[in-house]
Amino acid sequence: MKEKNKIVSVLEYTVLIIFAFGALFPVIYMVSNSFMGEEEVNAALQNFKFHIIPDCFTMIQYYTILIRKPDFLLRFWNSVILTVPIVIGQIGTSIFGAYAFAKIEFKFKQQIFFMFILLMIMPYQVTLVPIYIIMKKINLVGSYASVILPGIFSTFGVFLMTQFLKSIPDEQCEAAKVDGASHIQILFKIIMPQCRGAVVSLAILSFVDNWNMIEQPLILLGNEKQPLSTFLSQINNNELGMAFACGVMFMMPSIFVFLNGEKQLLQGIQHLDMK
Amino acid sequence: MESKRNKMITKIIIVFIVVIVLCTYFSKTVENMLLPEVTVIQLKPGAIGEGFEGTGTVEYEDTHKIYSRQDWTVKEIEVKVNQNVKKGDVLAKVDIDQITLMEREEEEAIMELQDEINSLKKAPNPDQDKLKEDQFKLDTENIKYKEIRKGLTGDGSILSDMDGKIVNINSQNVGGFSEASEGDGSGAADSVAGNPLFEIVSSEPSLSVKWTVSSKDADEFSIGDNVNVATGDDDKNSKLTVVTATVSEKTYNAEKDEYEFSGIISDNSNLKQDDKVTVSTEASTKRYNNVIPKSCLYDEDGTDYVYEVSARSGALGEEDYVEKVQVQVGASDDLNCSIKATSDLTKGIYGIVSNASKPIEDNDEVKPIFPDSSR
Repeated sequence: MKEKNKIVSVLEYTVLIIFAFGALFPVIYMVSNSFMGEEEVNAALQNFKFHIIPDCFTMIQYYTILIRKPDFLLRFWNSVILTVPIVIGQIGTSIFGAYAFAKIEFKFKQQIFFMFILLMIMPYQVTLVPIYIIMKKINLVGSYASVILPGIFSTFGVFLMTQFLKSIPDEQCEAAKVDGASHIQILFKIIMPQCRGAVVSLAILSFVDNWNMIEQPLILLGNEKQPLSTFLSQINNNELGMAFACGVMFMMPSIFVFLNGEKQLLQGIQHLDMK
Repeated sequence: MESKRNKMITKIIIVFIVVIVLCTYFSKTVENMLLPEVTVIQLKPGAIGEGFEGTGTVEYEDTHKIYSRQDWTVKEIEVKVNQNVKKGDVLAKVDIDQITLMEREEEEAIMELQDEINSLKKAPNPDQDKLKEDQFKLDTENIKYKEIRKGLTGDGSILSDMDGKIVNINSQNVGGFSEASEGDGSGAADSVAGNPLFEIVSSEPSLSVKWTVSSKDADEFSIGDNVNVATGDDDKNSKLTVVTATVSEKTYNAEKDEYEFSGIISDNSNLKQDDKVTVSTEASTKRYNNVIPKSCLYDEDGTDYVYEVSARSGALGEEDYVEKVQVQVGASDDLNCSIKATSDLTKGIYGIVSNASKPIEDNDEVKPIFPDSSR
């Protein structure tokens, strides 16, 4: 029996390792190739070889994109300009929305919340055309605001925060009300100190989502304001080594954000799961 | 353990941000420092060989001028520059009322003087001095009266007095009529007495070329020498034509310390006034369409190459780069040579590298410098 368990365990681990390798392989491949010269990368691709360990370790691709090609950096800052305001704005709107859904009783609350969930499960492309028309009407097409403004109002953020706020006992809010606290005071003095984890997890998820956005900038922004996410696809086949280095640099901020708030993110997701 | 990890992550994030910020701030400076600077020149037609080359201007040798006899008010100009005219053709019309008024004023002055002379003659003791003085005045006024209509027809037209071509209409003297197509008289303007209104040349005018050279190069030309006059330098695509001129005049301008030369052009079929031409001594007779300094040539195993500068869309934006092109060297002297390229050297490129701050190779990205013209 013990031996059977051991075999099952080995099989489980083997399957898991295969899946983990399958998931991680593209990242490993990208990172290792980013430390190869252009010729080595092209030679490996032409011969259909998966070349993981560089024959000649070099930082030339990073040197090229960081020192010799200012365009990469401009795109990087375009991504920052778009993502940071969206994350901050999304946290603000989500907290207020979530407080209303979780702690205030009003007519058609359930129906409106249901609509929120409905919007959340819809693909973004569905709302893209109306957003474009609205932005064109208010003359914002081509400006950063055309991406930032719609990005701030996220249904997922409201949903996530609502689930978290529901876990905070209503009695605390009732007690504050009895003491004469307004909704704003309750939100900032009672609720906010308790939902730091949820805010961080929302920030991480929102950051990753918006850092990787493709459709919005492609449709709403001009060529000069395109972020890194769309820029990577413009690198042609002859410069794949540079594409690998760009890819590594592109995923760095997301990794940093995740590592910095990993604990809070897990807590937030657990809360979501609990509910 | 947890806190140590967090501190490490925070440090890495700070380093990452600092690197990105610094790279962004200094990227342009670093890029400019690292790229080889190449001086770019354009392919030009030119001469190969010993001798002197300068720029000159074509002028008509003999022009016939039609002057404004009085301060006329020109109402209409009937001809245009480069228009052929025949003797007796109307060139312009002046305000006839003004002429009539002037004539009447003169007639009045003559009549007054005539009366005064008559009354002086009838006097018992005529004052002979006064009489002489008035007679002189009368003669003068008569001459003035005749002068009023000189150069004009009865209806106030200025006529051409030879067959030929109008080469200049003196716009200063006819005010608003710089080129005479106006016939409505709306832009009447005053001409100044004694100044030329029109310049006419014969149907087959002789042309001369004028050029200046510094006193140290003046020995290259002497009166009677033949020089080459070439057109087509300004425009790459224009056909290069070379004619001969004979130096006819050499004058020293002490103020500028330079010599002014004039030469009579023998064959003027393709030239016209104010054309800019290249004047060169006969030693540098042969001219070529693609002349470059020898510093542009790169020799590799006995084969000659030049680097042409072009722009391409790189992975990270547009960039300037050099492309190696094999060329065949034709004639050459100490400084310049003419080249023939296997591919088209003039399409889609900024020019040819004449000097590079660092060694360059085919497809290298460069920073082009344009010494005498912008892109």
